[in-house]
Amino acid sequence: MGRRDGSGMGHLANVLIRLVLPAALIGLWQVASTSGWVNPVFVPPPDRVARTGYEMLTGGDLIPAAAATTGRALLGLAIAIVIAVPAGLVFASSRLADGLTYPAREFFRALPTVTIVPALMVIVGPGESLSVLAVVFGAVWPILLGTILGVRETDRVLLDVARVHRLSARRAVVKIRLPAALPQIMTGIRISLAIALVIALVVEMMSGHGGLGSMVVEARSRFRNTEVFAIVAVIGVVGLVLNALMVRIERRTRHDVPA
Amino acid sequence: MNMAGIVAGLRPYVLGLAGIAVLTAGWAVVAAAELLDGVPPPLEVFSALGEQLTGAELWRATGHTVAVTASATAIATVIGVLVGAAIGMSAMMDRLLGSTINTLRFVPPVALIPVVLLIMGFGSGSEIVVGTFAALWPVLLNVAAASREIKSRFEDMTRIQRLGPVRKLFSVYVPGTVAATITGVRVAAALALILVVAIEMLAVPAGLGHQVRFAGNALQLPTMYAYIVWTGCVGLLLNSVLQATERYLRRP
Repeated sequence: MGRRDGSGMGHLANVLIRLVLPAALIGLWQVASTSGWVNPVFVPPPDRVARTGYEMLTGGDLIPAAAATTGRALLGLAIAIVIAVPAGLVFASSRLADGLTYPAREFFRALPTVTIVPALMVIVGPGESLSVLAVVFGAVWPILLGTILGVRETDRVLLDVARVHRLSARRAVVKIRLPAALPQIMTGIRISLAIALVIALVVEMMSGHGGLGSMVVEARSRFRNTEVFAIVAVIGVVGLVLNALMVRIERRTRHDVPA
Repeated sequence: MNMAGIVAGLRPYVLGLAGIAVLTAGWAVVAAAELLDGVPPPLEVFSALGEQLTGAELWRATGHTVAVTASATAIATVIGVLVGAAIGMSAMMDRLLGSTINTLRFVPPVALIPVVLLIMGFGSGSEIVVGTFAALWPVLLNVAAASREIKSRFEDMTRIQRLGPVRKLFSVYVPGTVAATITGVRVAAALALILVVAIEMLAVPAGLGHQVRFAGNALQLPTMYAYIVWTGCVGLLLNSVLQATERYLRRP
Protein backbone atom coordinates (compact mmCIF):
# COMPACT_ATOMS: atom_id res chain seq x y z
CA MET A 1 0.00 0.00 0.00
CA GLY A 2 2.74 2.46 -0.89
CA ARG A 3 5.18 4.29 1.30
CA ARG A 4 4.19 5.96 4.53
CA ASP A 5 6.25 9.11 5.06
CA GLY A 6 3.88 10.54 7.65
CA SER A 7 4.46 14.12 6.54
CA GLY A 8 1.54 16.21 5.30
CA MET A 9 3.16 16.87 1.93
CA GLY A 10 3.84 13.18 1.36
CA HIS A 11 0.23 12.36 2.17
CA LEU A 12 -1.03 15.02 -0.23
CA ALA A 13 1.24 13.75 -3.01
CA ASN A 14 -0.03 10.24 -2.32
CA VAL A 15 -3.65 11.32 -2.63
CA LEU A 16 -2.89 13.24 -5.83
CA ILE A 17 -1.20 10.20 -7.40
CA ARG A 18 -4.23 8.07 -6.58
CA LEU A 19 -6.47 10.62 -8.30
CA VAL A 20 -4.40 10.80 -11.50
CA LEU A 21 -5.96 7.81 -13.23
CA PRO A 22 -9.63 8.52 -12.38
CA ALA A 23 -9.16 12.15 -13.40
CA ALA A 24 -7.49 11.13 -16.65
CA LEU A 25 -10.26 8.66 -17.46
CA ILE A 26 -13.01 11.18 -16.79
CA GLY A 27 -11.10 13.81 -18.78
CA LEU A 28 -10.75 11.43 -21.71
CA TRP A 29 -14.47 10.63 -21.54
CA GLN A 30 -15.31 14.36 -21.55
CA VAL A 31 -13.06 15.10 -24.53
CA ALA A 32 -14.19 12.02 -26.46
CA SER A 33 -17.82 12.94 -25.99
CA THR A 34 -17.69 16.70 -26.62
CA SER A 35 -15.34 16.49 -29.61
CA GLY A 36 -17.41 13.78 -31.24
CA TRP A 37 -14.99 10.79 -31.18
CA VAL A 38 -17.91 8.88 -29.76
CA ASN A 39 -21.54 9.72 -30.43
CA PRO A 40 -22.60 12.05 -27.57
CA VAL A 41 -26.18 10.79 -27.95
CA PHE A 42 -25.06 7.34 -26.79
CA VAL A 43 -22.20 8.45 -24.55
CA PRO A 44 -23.14 11.79 -22.99
CA PRO A 45 -20.23 13.79 -21.49
CA PRO A 46 -19.61 13.43 -17.73
CA ASP A 47 -20.57 17.01 -16.90
CA ARG A 48 -24.06 16.45 -18.32
CA VAL A 49 -24.32 13.12 -16.52
CA ALA A 50 -23.32 14.79 -13.25
CA ARG A 51 -25.89 17.58 -13.74
CA THR A 52 -28.68 15.14 -14.59
CA GLY A 53 -27.68 12.95 -11.66
CA TYR A 54 -27.80 15.93 -9.31
CA GLU A 55 -31.25 16.94 -10.58
CA MET A 56 -32.54 13.40 -10.16
CA LEU A 57 -31.08 13.14 -6.66
CA THR A 58 -32.61 16.40 -5.46
CA GLY A 59 -35.91 16.36 -7.29
CA GLY A 60 -36.80 12.87 -8.37
CA ASP A 61 -37.39 9.34 -7.20
CA LEU A 62 -33.75 8.29 -7.37
CA ILE A 63 -33.30 8.08 -3.59
CA PRO A 64 -36.51 6.10 -2.95
CA ALA A 65 -35.51 3.75 -5.78
CA ALA A 66 -32.02 3.29 -4.32
CA ALA A 67 -33.59 2.64 -0.91
CA ALA A 68 -35.97 0.05 -2.39
CA THR A 69 -33.18 -1.85 -4.13
CA THR A 70 -30.92 -1.76 -1.08
CA GLY A 71 -33.78 -2.82 1.18
CA ARG A 72 -34.63 -5.85 -0.97
CA ALA A 73 -31.00 -6.93 -1.17
CA LEU A 74 -30.45 -6.56 2.58
CA LEU A 75 -33.73 -8.24 3.58
CA GLY A 76 -32.93 -11.19 1.32
CA LEU A 77 -29.41 -11.34 2.71
CA ALA A 78 -30.71 -11.34 6.30
CA ILE A 79 -33.12 -14.20 5.58
CA ALA A 80 -30.31 -16.08 3.83
CA ILE A 81 -28.12 -15.72 6.93
CA VAL A 82 -30.91 -16.99 9.19
CA ILE A 83 -31.34 -20.06 6.94
CA ALA A 84 -27.73 -20.78 5.98
CA VAL A 85 -25.90 -20.52 9.31
CA PRO A 86 -27.99 -23.13 11.19
CA ALA A 87 -28.12 -25.33 8.10
CA GLY A 88 -24.35 -25.08 7.74
CA LEU A 89 -23.93 -26.09 11.39
CA VAL A 90 -26.06 -29.19 10.79
CA PHE A 91 -24.21 -30.17 7.61
CA ALA A 92 -20.83 -29.61 9.25
CA SER A 93 -21.61 -31.70 12.33
CA SER A 94 -23.64 -34.56 10.83
CA ARG A 95 -21.93 -36.75 8.25
CA LEU A 96 -25.29 -38.19 7.24
CA ALA A 97 -26.83 -34.78 6.52
CA ASP A 98 -23.66 -33.71 4.75
CA GLY A 99 -23.54 -36.80 2.53
CA LEU A 100 -27.23 -36.57 1.66
CA THR A 101 -27.11 -32.96 0.58
CA TYR A 102 -23.61 -32.64 -0.89
CA PRO A 103 -24.36 -33.23 -4.62
CA ALA A 104 -27.51 -31.12 -4.48
CA ARG A 105 -25.59 -28.31 -2.76
CA GLU A 106 -22.83 -28.45 -5.38
CA PHE A 107 -25.44 -28.29 -8.14
CA PHE A 108 -27.19 -25.23 -6.75
CA ARG A 109 -23.88 -23.52 -6.00
CA ALA A 110 -22.77 -23.99 -9.62
CA LEU A 111 -26.16 -22.99 -11.08
CA PRO A 112 -25.99 -19.32 -12.15
CA THR A 113 -28.68 -18.17 -9.73
CA VAL A 114 -30.21 -15.64 -12.11
CA THR A 115 -31.64 -18.51 -14.17
CA ILE A 116 -34.20 -19.32 -11.49
CA VAL A 117 -35.71 -15.82 -11.67
CA PRO A 118 -38.11 -16.67 -14.56
CA ALA A 119 -39.22 -19.78 -12.66
CA LEU A 120 -39.87 -17.75 -9.50
CA MET A 121 -41.71 -15.19 -11.62
CA VAL A 122 -44.19 -17.90 -12.63
CA ILE A 123 -44.48 -19.31 -9.10
CA VAL A 124 -44.93 -16.13 -7.04
CA GLY A 125 -45.61 -13.52 -9.71
CA PRO A 126 -43.85 -10.16 -9.97
CA GLY A 127 -43.67 -8.20 -6.73
CA GLU A 128 -41.80 -7.68 -3.51
CA SER A 129 -41.67 -11.35 -2.57
CA LEU A 130 -40.17 -12.27 -5.95
CA SER A 131 -37.18 -9.97 -5.38
CA VAL A 132 -36.62 -11.14 -1.82
CA LEU A 133 -37.01 -14.85 -2.65
CA ALA A 134 -34.60 -14.62 -5.58
CA VAL A 135 -32.05 -12.80 -3.42
CA VAL A 136 -32.39 -15.41 -0.66
CA PHE A 137 -31.89 -18.22 -3.16
CA GLY A 138 -28.72 -16.62 -4.54
CA ALA A 139 -27.27 -15.48 -1.22
CA VAL A 140 -27.71 -18.73 0.72
CA TRP A 141 -24.92 -20.75 -0.93
CA PRO A 142 -21.75 -18.76 -0.11
CA ILE A 143 -22.86 -18.34 3.53
CA LEU A 144 -23.67 -22.05 3.75
CA LEU A 145 -20.25 -22.96 2.38
CA GLY A 146 -18.47 -20.50 4.68
CA THR A 147 -20.28 -21.88 7.73
CA ILE A 148 -19.54 -25.51 6.83
CA LEU A 149 -15.84 -24.83 6.19
CA GLY A 150 -15.50 -22.64 9.27
CA VAL A 151 -17.18 -25.08 11.65
CA ARG A 152 -15.33 -28.06 10.22
CA GLU A 153 -11.95 -26.41 10.69
CA THR A 154 -12.60 -25.51 14.32
CA ASP A 155 -9.38 -26.02 16.20
CA ARG A 156 -9.19 -29.45 17.88
CA VAL A 157 -7.70 -27.79 20.94
CA LEU A 158 -10.80 -25.64 21.33
CA LEU A 159 -12.99 -28.73 21.12
CA ASP A 160 -10.85 -30.42 23.76
CA VAL A 161 -11.36 -27.40 25.97
CA ALA A 162 -15.11 -27.83 25.52
CA ARG A 163 -14.82 -31.47 26.49
CA VAL A 164 -12.73 -30.69 29.57
CA HIS A 165 -15.33 -28.15 30.65
CA ARG A 166 -18.04 -30.75 30.00
CA LEU A 167 -20.01 -28.40 27.77
CA SER A 168 -23.10 -30.04 26.34
CA ALA A 169 -23.04 -30.52 22.57
CA ARG A 170 -25.44 -27.62 22.09
CA ARG A 171 -23.48 -25.26 24.33
CA ALA A 172 -20.23 -26.27 22.62
CA VAL A 173 -21.76 -25.21 19.31
CA VAL A 174 -22.88 -21.82 20.61
CA LYS A 175 -19.81 -21.09 22.73
CA ILE A 176 -17.01 -22.58 20.65
CA ARG A 177 -17.84 -23.68 17.14
CA LEU A 178 -19.88 -20.69 15.95
CA PRO A 179 -17.47 -18.02 17.25
CA ALA A 180 -14.51 -19.91 15.80
CA ALA A 181 -16.27 -20.14 12.42
CA LEU A 182 -17.26 -16.47 12.43
CA PRO A 183 -14.49 -15.16 10.14
CA GLN A 184 -15.37 -17.69 7.44
CA ILE A 185 -19.08 -17.01 7.88
CA MET A 186 -18.41 -13.29 7.45
CA THR A 187 -16.43 -13.95 4.26
CA GLY A 188 -19.43 -15.90 2.96
CA ILE A 189 -21.75 -13.03 3.89
CA ARG A 190 -19.52 -10.52 2.09
CA ILE A 191 -19.62 -12.60 -1.11
CA SER A 192 -23.38 -13.01 -0.69
CA LEU A 193 -23.87 -9.26 -0.29
CA ALA A 194 -22.44 -8.66 -3.76
CA ILE A 195 -24.63 -11.45 -5.17
CA ALA A 196 -27.70 -10.09 -3.35
CA LEU A 197 -27.30 -6.69 -4.97
CA VAL A 198 -26.78 -8.21 -8.42
CA ILE A 199 -29.89 -10.39 -8.12
CA ALA A 200 -32.05 -7.61 -6.71
CA LEU A 201 -31.08 -5.48 -9.71
CA VAL A 202 -31.64 -8.28 -12.25
CA VAL A 203 -35.10 -9.01 -10.86
CA GLU A 204 -35.98 -5.33 -11.02
CA MET A 205 -34.68 -5.10 -14.58
CA MET A 206 -36.75 -8.13 -15.61
CA SER A 207 -39.99 -7.50 -13.74
CA GLY A 208 -40.02 -3.70 -13.85
CA HIS A 209 -41.18 -3.63 -10.25
CA GLY A 210 -39.59 -0.43 -8.91
CA GLY A 211 -36.06 0.15 -7.68
CA LEU A 212 -32.93 1.26 -9.53
CA GLY A 213 -33.06 -1.75 -11.87
CA SER A 214 -36.40 -0.94 -13.42
CA MET A 215 -35.57 2.77 -13.39
CA VAL A 216 -32.50 2.22 -15.55
CA VAL A 217 -34.37 -0.06 -17.95
CA GLU A 218 -37.14 2.48 -18.31
CA ALA A 219 -34.68 5.32 -18.94
CA ARG A 220 -33.01 3.22 -21.62
CA SER A 221 -36.26 2.33 -23.35
CA ARG A 222 -37.12 6.05 -23.51
CA PHE A 223 -33.66 6.88 -24.88
CA ARG A 224 -32.86 9.10 -21.90
CA ASN A 225 -29.23 8.09 -22.09
CA THR A 226 -27.87 10.72 -19.73
CA GLU A 227 -30.23 9.36 -17.08
CA VAL A 228 -29.00 5.81 -17.79
CA PHE A 229 -25.42 6.85 -17.03
CA ALA A 230 -26.47 8.78 -13.92
CA ILE A 231 -28.47 5.82 -12.52
CA VAL A 232 -25.61 3.44 -13.24
CA ALA A 233 -23.28 5.75 -11.32
CA VAL A 234 -25.69 5.70 -8.37
CA ILE A 235 -25.80 1.89 -8.49
CA GLY A 236 -22.01 1.90 -8.33
CA VAL A 237 -22.09 4.18 -5.28
CA VAL A 238 -24.65 1.90 -3.56
CA GLY A 239 -22.36 -1.08 -4.17
CA LEU A 240 -19.35 0.79 -2.81
CA VAL A 241 -21.14 2.01 0.32
CA LEU A 242 -22.61 -1.40 1.17
CA ASN A 243 -19.25 -3.06 0.72
CA ALA A 244 -17.47 -0.46 2.85
CA LEU A 245 -20.00 -1.07 5.65
CA MET A 246 -19.52 -4.81 5.29
CA VAL A 247 -15.73 -4.53 5.52
CA ARG A 248 -16.12 -2.48 8.69
CA ILE A 249 -18.45 -5.05 10.29
CA GLU A 250 -16.15 -7.87 9.21
CA ARG A 251 -13.15 -6.18 10.78
CA ARG A 252 -15.03 -5.76 14.05
CA THR A 253 -15.99 -9.44 14.21
CA ARG A 254 -12.37 -10.41 13.67
CA HIS A 255 -11.43 -8.48 16.79
CA ASP A 256 -14.09 -10.21 18.83
CA VAL A 257 -12.88 -13.69 17.98
CA PRO A 258 -10.82 -15.12 20.80
CA ALA A 259 -7.46 -16.20 19.52
CA MET B 1 -10.07 -54.21 -1.29
CA ASN B 2 -12.27 -55.86 1.30
CA MET B 3 -16.01 -55.56 1.50
CA ALA B 4 -16.00 -52.92 4.25
CA GLY B 5 -13.62 -50.76 2.22
CA ILE B 6 -15.85 -50.93 -0.83
CA VAL B 7 -18.91 -50.04 1.25
CA ALA B 8 -17.09 -47.08 2.81
CA GLY B 9 -15.94 -45.93 -0.63
CA LEU B 10 -19.42 -46.14 -2.07
CA ARG B 11 -21.05 -44.41 0.90
CA PRO B 12 -20.79 -40.80 -0.40
CA TYR B 13 -22.26 -41.78 -3.78
CA VAL B 14 -25.11 -43.75 -2.24
CA LEU B 15 -25.90 -40.95 0.20
CA GLY B 16 -25.65 -38.32 -2.50
CA LEU B 17 -27.94 -40.23 -4.85
CA ALA B 18 -30.38 -40.80 -1.99
CA GLY B 19 -30.37 -37.06 -1.30
CA ILE B 20 -31.09 -36.25 -4.94
CA ALA B 21 -33.82 -38.91 -4.98
CA VAL B 22 -35.46 -37.38 -1.87
CA LEU B 23 -35.25 -33.91 -3.44
CA THR B 24 -36.79 -35.13 -6.71
CA ALA B 25 -39.52 -37.01 -4.81
CA GLY B 26 -40.30 -33.83 -2.86
CA TRP B 27 -40.51 -31.93 -6.13
CA ALA B 28 -42.82 -34.61 -7.58
CA VAL B 29 -45.11 -34.35 -4.53
CA VAL B 30 -45.22 -30.55 -4.74
CA ALA B 31 -46.07 -30.76 -8.45
CA ALA B 32 -48.63 -33.54 -8.06
CA ALA B 33 -50.41 -31.87 -5.15
CA GLU B 34 -50.20 -28.51 -6.98
CA LEU B 35 -48.84 -26.82 -3.86
CA LEU B 36 -47.12 -24.22 -6.01
CA ASP B 37 -48.41 -22.69 -9.23
CA GLY B 38 -46.37 -23.35 -12.31
CA VAL B 39 -44.16 -26.19 -11.11
CA PRO B 40 -44.25 -29.01 -13.67
CA PRO B 41 -43.61 -32.57 -12.44
CA PRO B 42 -40.00 -33.80 -12.73
CA LEU B 43 -40.95 -36.46 -15.27
CA GLU B 44 -42.20 -33.82 -17.72
CA VAL B 45 -39.09 -31.70 -17.13
CA PHE B 46 -36.72 -34.57 -17.75
CA SER B 47 -38.56 -35.68 -20.88
CA ALA B 48 -38.42 -32.07 -22.10
CA LEU B 49 -34.70 -32.07 -21.33
CA GLY B 50 -34.27 -35.31 -23.26
CA GLU B 51 -36.12 -33.82 -26.19
CA GLN B 52 -33.92 -30.70 -26.13
CA LEU B 53 -30.76 -32.78 -25.79
CA THR B 54 -31.52 -34.52 -29.06
CA GLY B 55 -32.31 -31.26 -30.86
CA ALA B 56 -29.90 -28.66 -32.22
CA GLU B 57 -31.21 -25.61 -30.35
CA LEU B 58 -29.91 -26.55 -26.90
CA TRP B 59 -26.43 -27.29 -28.22
CA ARG B 60 -26.30 -24.06 -30.20
CA ALA B 61 -27.34 -22.09 -27.11
CA THR B 62 -24.85 -23.98 -24.92
CA GLY B 63 -22.06 -23.41 -27.44
CA HIS B 64 -22.84 -19.70 -27.55
CA THR B 65 -22.96 -19.22 -23.77
CA VAL B 66 -19.84 -21.32 -23.14
CA ALA B 67 -17.87 -19.60 -25.92
CA VAL B 68 -18.81 -16.12 -24.68
CA THR B 69 -18.04 -17.07 -21.05
CA ALA B 70 -14.69 -18.55 -22.07
CA SER B 71 -13.76 -15.47 -24.13
CA ALA B 72 -14.68 -13.14 -21.28
CA THR B 73 -12.71 -15.25 -18.79
CA ALA B 74 -9.69 -15.41 -21.12
CA ILE B 75 -9.63 -11.64 -21.69
CA ALA B 76 -10.09 -11.02 -17.97
CA THR B 77 -7.24 -13.43 -17.20
CA VAL B 78 -4.79 -11.68 -19.52
CA ILE B 79 -5.66 -8.21 -18.19
CA GLY B 80 -5.87 -9.43 -14.59
CA VAL B 81 -2.47 -11.18 -14.66
CA LEU B 82 -0.66 -8.23 -16.27
CA VAL B 83 -2.24 -5.50 -14.14
CA GLY B 84 -2.18 -7.64 -10.97
CA ALA B 85 1.51 -8.48 -11.41
CA ALA B 86 2.30 -4.83 -12.18
CA ILE B 87 0.66 -3.52 -9.01
CA GLY B 88 2.20 -6.31 -6.92
CA MET B 89 5.60 -5.61 -8.44
CA SER B 90 5.73 -1.84 -8.10
CA ALA B 91 4.51 0.36 -5.27
CA MET B 92 4.18 3.20 -7.77
CA MET B 93 1.76 1.23 -9.95
CA ASP B 94 -0.16 0.24 -6.83
CA ARG B 95 -0.59 3.88 -5.87
CA LEU B 96 -1.49 4.86 -9.41
CA LEU B 97 -4.09 2.11 -10.03
CA GLY B 98 -5.06 0.93 -6.53
CA SER B 99 -7.83 3.40 -5.75
CA THR B 100 -9.42 3.09 -9.19
CA ILE B 101 -9.40 -0.71 -8.94
CA ASN B 102 -10.84 -0.62 -5.44
CA THR B 103 -13.65 1.62 -6.64
CA LEU B 104 -14.51 -0.24 -9.84
CA ARG B 105 -14.49 -3.73 -8.34
CA PHE B 106 -17.40 -2.96 -6.04
CA VAL B 107 -19.62 -1.72 -8.86
CA PRO B 108 -22.25 -4.45 -9.32
CA PRO B 109 -21.46 -5.73 -12.84
CA VAL B 110 -25.14 -5.88 -13.82
CA ALA B 111 -25.17 -2.10 -13.53
CA LEU B 112 -22.96 -1.97 -16.61
CA ILE B 113 -25.46 -3.87 -18.74
CA PRO B 114 -27.61 -0.85 -19.75
CA VAL B 115 -24.57 1.30 -20.54
CA VAL B 116 -22.81 -1.43 -22.53
CA LEU B 117 -26.02 -2.09 -24.48
CA LEU B 118 -26.22 1.62 -25.34
CA ILE B 119 -22.66 1.69 -26.64
CA MET B 120 -22.26 -1.75 -28.18
CA GLY B 121 -25.75 -2.94 -29.02
CA PHE B 122 -27.44 -6.30 -28.49
CA GLY B 123 -24.66 -8.65 -29.60
CA SER B 124 -22.00 -11.00 -28.27
CA GLY B 125 -19.62 -8.06 -27.84
CA SER B 126 -21.77 -6.65 -25.04
CA GLU B 127 -21.87 -10.05 -23.35
CA ILE B 128 -18.10 -10.36 -23.47
CA VAL B 129 -17.53 -6.86 -22.08
CA VAL B 130 -19.89 -7.36 -19.13
CA GLY B 131 -18.54 -10.87 -18.46
CA THR B 132 -14.96 -9.59 -18.58
CA PHE B 133 -15.73 -6.80 -16.14
CA ALA B 134 -17.15 -9.32 -13.66
CA ALA B 135 -14.34 -11.85 -14.18
CA LEU B 136 -11.47 -9.39 -13.94
CA TRP B 137 -11.35 -8.75 -10.19
CA PRO B 138 -10.79 -12.25 -8.76
CA VAL B 139 -7.86 -12.82 -11.13
CA LEU B 140 -6.37 -9.37 -10.62
CA LEU B 141 -6.56 -9.44 -6.82
CA ASN B 142 -5.24 -13.00 -6.53
CA VAL B 143 -2.29 -12.25 -8.81
CA ALA B 144 -1.56 -8.95 -7.03
CA ALA B 145 -1.43 -10.72 -3.65
CA ALA B 146 0.79 -13.49 -5.01
CA SER B 147 3.13 -10.99 -6.72
CA ARG B 148 3.57 -9.07 -3.47
CA GLU B 149 4.76 -12.28 -1.88
CA ILE B 150 7.13 -12.99 -4.78
CA LYS B 151 8.47 -9.47 -4.49
CA SER B 152 9.29 -9.87 -0.81
CA ARG B 153 11.11 -13.14 -1.54
CA PHE B 154 12.85 -12.57 -4.86
CA GLU B 155 13.31 -8.81 -5.22
CA ASP B 156 17.01 -8.95 -4.35
CA MET B 157 17.61 -11.64 -6.89
CA THR B 158 15.90 -9.76 -9.71
CA ARG B 159 17.97 -6.72 -8.77
CA ILE B 160 21.23 -8.70 -8.95
CA GLN B 161 20.19 -10.06 -12.33
CA ARG B 162 19.49 -6.47 -13.45
CA LEU B 163 16.19 -7.41 -15.02
CA GLY B 164 14.25 -4.57 -16.59
CA PRO B 165 10.64 -4.15 -15.46
CA VAL B 166 9.18 -5.82 -18.56
CA ARG B 167 11.56 -8.82 -18.42
CA LYS B 168 10.91 -9.04 -14.67
CA LEU B 169 7.14 -9.07 -15.29
CA PHE B 170 7.26 -11.83 -17.90
CA SER B 171 10.11 -13.99 -16.60
CA VAL B 172 9.48 -13.84 -12.83
CA TYR B 173 6.05 -12.56 -11.88
CA VAL B 174 3.76 -14.04 -14.54
CA PRO B 175 5.17 -17.60 -14.25
CA GLY B 176 5.43 -17.27 -10.46
CA THR B 177 1.73 -16.55 -10.05
CA VAL B 178 0.28 -19.40 -12.12
CA ALA B 179 -1.31 -21.18 -9.15
CA ALA B 180 -2.86 -17.95 -7.86
CA THR B 181 -4.07 -17.20 -11.38
CA ILE B 182 -5.93 -20.48 -11.78
CA THR B 183 -7.67 -20.02 -8.42
CA GLY B 184 -8.75 -16.59 -9.59
CA VAL B 185 -9.85 -18.01 -12.95
CA ARG B 186 -12.12 -20.58 -11.27
CA VAL B 187 -13.98 -17.86 -9.37
CA ALA B 188 -13.87 -15.58 -12.42
CA ALA B 189 -15.44 -18.14 -14.78
CA ALA B 190 -18.35 -18.69 -12.38
CA LEU B 191 -18.96 -14.93 -12.18
CA ALA B 192 -18.64 -14.52 -15.95
CA LEU B 193 -21.20 -17.29 -16.49
CA ILE B 194 -23.68 -15.58 -14.13
CA LEU B 195 -23.32 -12.26 -15.93
CA VAL B 196 -23.44 -13.77 -19.42
CA VAL B 197 -26.65 -15.66 -18.56
CA ALA B 198 -28.08 -12.50 -16.96
CA ILE B 199 -27.45 -10.30 -20.00
CA GLU B 200 -28.86 -13.04 -22.24
CA MET B 201 -32.01 -13.08 -20.15
CA LEU B 202 -32.29 -9.30 -20.16
CA ALA B 203 -31.33 -8.27 -23.64
CA VAL B 204 -29.15 -10.35 -25.96
CA PRO B 205 -31.32 -12.82 -27.89
CA ALA B 206 -28.95 -15.83 -27.82
CA GLY B 207 -27.61 -18.50 -25.50
CA LEU B 208 -28.93 -20.38 -22.47
CA GLY B 209 -30.23 -17.30 -20.66
CA HIS B 210 -32.35 -16.37 -23.65
CA GLN B 211 -33.72 -19.93 -23.90
CA VAL B 212 -34.79 -19.91 -20.23
CA ARG B 213 -36.48 -16.55 -20.58
CA PHE B 214 -38.03 -17.40 -23.95
CA ALA B 215 -39.52 -20.68 -22.69
CA GLY B 216 -40.76 -18.86 -19.57
CA ASN B 217 -42.46 -16.13 -21.59
CA ALA B 218 -44.07 -18.76 -23.82
CA LEU B 219 -45.20 -20.56 -20.62
CA GLN B 220 -43.52 -23.75 -21.81
CA LEU B 221 -42.71 -24.56 -18.22
CA PRO B 222 -41.18 -28.04 -18.62
CA THR B 223 -38.81 -26.65 -21.27
CA MET B 224 -37.92 -23.70 -19.05
CA TYR B 225 -37.10 -25.99 -16.12
CA ALA B 226 -35.18 -28.29 -18.46
CA TYR B 227 -33.00 -25.34 -19.47
CA ILE B 228 -32.51 -24.30 -15.84
CA VAL B 229 -31.37 -27.84 -14.93
CA TRP B 230 -29.13 -27.92 -17.99
CA THR B 231 -27.58 -24.52 -17.17
CA GLY B 232 -26.78 -25.86 -13.71
CA CYS B 233 -25.11 -28.91 -15.28
CA VAL B 234 -23.03 -26.65 -17.53
CA GLY B 235 -21.98 -24.57 -14.51
CA LEU B 236 -21.12 -27.73 -12.57
CA LEU B 237 -19.04 -29.10 -15.44
CA LEU B 238 -17.21 -25.80 -15.91
CA ASN B 239 -16.45 -25.63 -12.20
CA SER B 240 -15.27 -29.26 -12.04
CA VAL B 241 -12.91 -28.84 -15.00
CA LEU B 242 -11.35 -25.72 -13.49
CA GLN B 243 -11.13 -27.32 -10.04
CA ALA B 244 -9.30 -30.33 -11.50
CA THR B 245 -6.93 -27.98 -13.36
CA GLU B 246 -6.30 -26.08 -10.15
CA ARG B 247 -5.53 -29.30 -8.25
CA TYR B 248 -3.17 -30.37 -11.04
CA LEU B 249 -1.29 -27.05 -11.04
CA ARG B 250 -1.09 -26.89 -7.25
CA ARG B 251 0.11 -30.49 -6.85
CA PRO B 252 3.20 -30.73 -4.67
